[in-house]
Amino acid sequence: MNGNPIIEFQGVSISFGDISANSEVSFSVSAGTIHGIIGENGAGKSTAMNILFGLYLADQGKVLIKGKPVRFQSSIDAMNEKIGMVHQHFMLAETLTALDNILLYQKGSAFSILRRDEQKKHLEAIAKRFGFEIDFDAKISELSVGAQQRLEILKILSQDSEILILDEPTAVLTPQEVQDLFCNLQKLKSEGKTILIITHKLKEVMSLTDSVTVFRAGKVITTKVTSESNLAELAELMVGHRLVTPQERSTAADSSQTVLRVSNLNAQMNSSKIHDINFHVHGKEIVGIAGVEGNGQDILVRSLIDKQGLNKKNFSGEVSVSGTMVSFPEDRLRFGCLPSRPVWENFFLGQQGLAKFNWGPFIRKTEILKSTKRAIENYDIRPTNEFLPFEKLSGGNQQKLVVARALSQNPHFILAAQPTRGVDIGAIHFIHNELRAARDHGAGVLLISSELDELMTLSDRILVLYKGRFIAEFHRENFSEITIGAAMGGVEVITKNAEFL
Amino acid sequence: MVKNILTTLLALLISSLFSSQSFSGVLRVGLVLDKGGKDDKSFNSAAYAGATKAEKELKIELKYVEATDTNAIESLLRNFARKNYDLVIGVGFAEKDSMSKVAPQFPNVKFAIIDGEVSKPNVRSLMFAEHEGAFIVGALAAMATKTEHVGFVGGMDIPLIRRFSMGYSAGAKYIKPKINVSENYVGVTGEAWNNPAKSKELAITQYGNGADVIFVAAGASNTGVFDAAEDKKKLAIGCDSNQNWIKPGFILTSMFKAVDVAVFDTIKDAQQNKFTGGLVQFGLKNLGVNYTSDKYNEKLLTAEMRTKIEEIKKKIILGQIQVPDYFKRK
Amino acid sequence: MKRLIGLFVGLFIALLITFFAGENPFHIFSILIKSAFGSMYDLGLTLSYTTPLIFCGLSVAVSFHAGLFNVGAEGQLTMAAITAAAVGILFPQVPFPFAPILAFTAALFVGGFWGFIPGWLRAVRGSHEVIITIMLNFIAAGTANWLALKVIPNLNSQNPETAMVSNNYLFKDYDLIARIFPDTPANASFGVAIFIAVLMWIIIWKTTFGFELRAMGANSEAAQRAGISKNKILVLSMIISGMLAGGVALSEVLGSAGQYRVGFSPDYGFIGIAVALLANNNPIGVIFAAFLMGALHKGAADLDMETTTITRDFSRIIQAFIILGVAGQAYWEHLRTSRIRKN
Repeated sequence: MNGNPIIEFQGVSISFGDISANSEVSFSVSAGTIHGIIGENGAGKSTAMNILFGLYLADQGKVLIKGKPVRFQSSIDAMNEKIGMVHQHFMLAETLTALDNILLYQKGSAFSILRRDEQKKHLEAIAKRFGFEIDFDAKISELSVGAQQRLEILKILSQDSEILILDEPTAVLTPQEVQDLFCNLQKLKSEGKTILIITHKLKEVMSLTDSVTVFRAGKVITTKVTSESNLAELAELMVGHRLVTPQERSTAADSSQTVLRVSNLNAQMNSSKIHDINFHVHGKEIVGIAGVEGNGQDILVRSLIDKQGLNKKNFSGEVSVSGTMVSFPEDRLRFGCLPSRPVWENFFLGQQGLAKFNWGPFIRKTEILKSTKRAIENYDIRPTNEFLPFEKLSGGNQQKLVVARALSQNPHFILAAQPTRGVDIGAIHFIHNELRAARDHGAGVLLISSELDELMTLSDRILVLYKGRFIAEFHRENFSEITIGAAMGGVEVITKNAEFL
Repeated sequence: MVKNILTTLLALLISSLFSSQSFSGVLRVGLVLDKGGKDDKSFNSAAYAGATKAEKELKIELKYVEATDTNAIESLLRNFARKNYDLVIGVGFAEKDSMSKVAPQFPNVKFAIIDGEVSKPNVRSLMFAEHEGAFIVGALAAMATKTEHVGFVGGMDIPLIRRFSMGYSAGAKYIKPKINVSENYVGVTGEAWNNPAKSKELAITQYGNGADVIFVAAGASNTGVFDAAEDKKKLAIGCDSNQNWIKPGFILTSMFKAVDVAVFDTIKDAQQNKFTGGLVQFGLKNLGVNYTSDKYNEKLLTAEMRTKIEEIKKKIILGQIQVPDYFKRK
Repeated sequence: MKRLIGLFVGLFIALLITFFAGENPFHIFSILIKSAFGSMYDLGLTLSYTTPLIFCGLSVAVSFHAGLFNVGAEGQLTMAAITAAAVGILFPQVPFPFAPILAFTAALFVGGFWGFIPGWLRAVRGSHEVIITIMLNFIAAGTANWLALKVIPNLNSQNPETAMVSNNYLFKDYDLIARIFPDTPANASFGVAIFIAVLMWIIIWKTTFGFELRAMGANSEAAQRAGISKNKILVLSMIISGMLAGGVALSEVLGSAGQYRVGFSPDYGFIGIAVALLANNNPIGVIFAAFLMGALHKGAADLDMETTTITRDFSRIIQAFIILGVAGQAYWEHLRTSRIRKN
């Protein structure tokens, strides 16, 4: 630790009802550094940052800014102390221009008249200085995700903030955009700003940060200087135990069986379209679909799962699945569960047609409970309470339940859309192993993910979806983050064995 | 401080539990108003006025309620009877069925009903010759019209209101045989008595079609027609109560139904032990129905009109003019 | 149970207002209690309000479980009631035990059909059921009025009502509940309502169909992904909802009046929404909530008679505050859970 601590947490605790979200959290951040906040989901890192930004009030303990104790009643207090936060979900008004969105954020904008041209000039200067150039007159809906994020950061910079908090900033970006962002953040650092970045991607932590604080179960485990640590150590600190990566696959894809065949698929839903989609998935094979979100993944999933729900006009082509199919929804809270209902009912959902759970028109609750308990045990879902509302589970445990439900049906084809989104490292590991096990038992898996790492660890082949078309295919031996990343950004790659071209 | 509040509240609670009804020998009268309510400025208002007049002058104890829905009427009547009220008055034909059910069960309670006939020994039925009054105002409307076109807006489309309409158009045609009479009803349910917006619409349409005097018999909906008359600078004729004051200068006259007198007299009879069951008729003869003339419409009714109408009244009373009665039609 | 807090808060505010109007709130409260339960006669009237409220509360609750908001219980019960009366008048020769069953079945069928329309439109056209049911309420009122006044009117009365149904259709002579509460409209349909409430509890919580219905209500997209047909659930739940509201025909037409009276319902269908909210959509809870609201409705009517300042409209204010208290409590709870969900 060098330099003066600009932020200090001293024994900060907060609890919601019975749940203690932060207990005795203490750490400090030096001025002019990039500081990583890492931890599994529900480890309390977001809570601590929300306290810093004035969204929550700590029950106990002190927060010091530049050595001066502060107690923020709201985020306005935090902004007055030159702290700004970029939330994971952007807080932008879609129908307004970029300039308007920044002006909305200006202090006292509700009651004062702002000179637009002056403000614009002022903002352009700031943008130029930090390398956050965007088109101020474009509407938000016309800006790319990366530009929207730059705008969010610019909003903070326009307030002369000295401390920036970024919550999972890379989740929605392409690898190229991530590079640009990191570049800009380094520039901000050199201007003397202090940056806190919440993430669970350890690679980013390693490449970007100066120091890192690890959260686990509401507590701070340690704060380390990044250059003195390594990936494996941080992962272990986060999860609390050593991660065992299974050996590489022992079985080969079973090309005698084709569990999914898609030919000449064209479909459209709202603004997302897919064109001329042709591919297949064999038994014992995992096929990955890479692509930045919004390039047609959602409509592809819909076409596979629920083509009846699509307008016939907007759907053509052939989708055939042999054998039983299950799917992990890409957004589990939206598509995969009944958030307010107990765990056992969520386990039952999707299996309500099975004979073993029915007795005439009635449900066999004891049977369902028995199966639920078994799944909870096998998948180590915590807390082990089948009557708890689903939403009370942490993200990782929710996803484990969704996976357990799907895999307990021994399907022939698994559609895994974003199977580990918002899930902590321990659970990611677990789910990956379950998918491998299902594959080894003969199932074919179509893996749609925005995490390139995940695709590269699991897939036998990766198809890259760009603007609704497959523009590249990679086989395991050709996997490279750079080429796949380029393809995701729209660079066509001619590969020798692109069977679909 | 807290202790004081608590003891006060406790005292209130106890006193409320033991508060008893007064048994002072005062005549207790219960008045069950129709859905229109006591502020309809018309039929129910008249009944309420008669009862409050009795309360002041005869020192009786008066309690009135307004029916919330059709089913409530029976329980309201029954409740008054069960509490041993001396006289229970039902206002409006809608209470007829309920009263014929309740009255026989409480032979010691006196009942009275307006606009309905219940033949039970302890029920006095107060009926009005609406057709005679309507005939008079119809004649006045015909004298006042300049377009040879008059209108009628009824509340609920039921025989009682048809009776108004028939008398009215007969009166108008008596004066001007070729006169044009428009006729509309606000609705077919009890809501019609309480829908001034709809009656205003109807009136505006009639005025637009050329009518310049409209007679309205629609309870609390009457005010809608008066508003229309003011907007369009035309004339309207009120009903049941004397409504001339509501829009002075735009209300030619009102067909007055002496509901207040009927209610007052019935209460008075009950107090003086002269109450008898049976049918009591109110017509032109005993001034039970009439047209009204006061400071608000003295400019609208010319001397010529007044003399002519008095003549017609006399002829009706003497039987020289036969006013058609919807109730007695073939 | 939590909803009782809202109920008491609402009641407290309402009583406070009576205090400012110059009444003794304890007196008002004791009138409410006495008026609802004071005698067999009062209790009978309370029960006669309770019965249709159970039917309407169930109707709204079932639709809530499926994620729909049935504001059309009023129209559904109106259509069912006029149907029961029409069957009773047009087929007078049907013998006794079959006659009321026939009329009731017809009423349920038409009530169900009146629920089917918005369900079907929602499924096929995506039209919002709230708008459709509100519009259907008006259509139902108009249709019923036309039938009652032009097709099968009571020629002996000026009241807007149908003729009496044939005597074969009335089950008064076998009606124990009516005998316990003489002179009141309370009748055996109260028992039927409780039976149906228990039946609905079983259907909602113990059957696969009930599970599918609740799943659709909890998260329709997830339910569809799980292979539950959205259209089937939408249509079926609205049909059931309409049939439940149609149950009012039993208590009001066949059980007591013996005829359809225009305006017989003091907005049972809308008070049913408050009942369902108060009961947290639990069918068994609906029985108690309906009883509470029934008692309140009865008590409020008597306040007009018992006090000088509390008029008919004032007693509506009191009712409104209690409903507001319940709804406010529900909303507060909703806010709280959604805040927890965000964290």
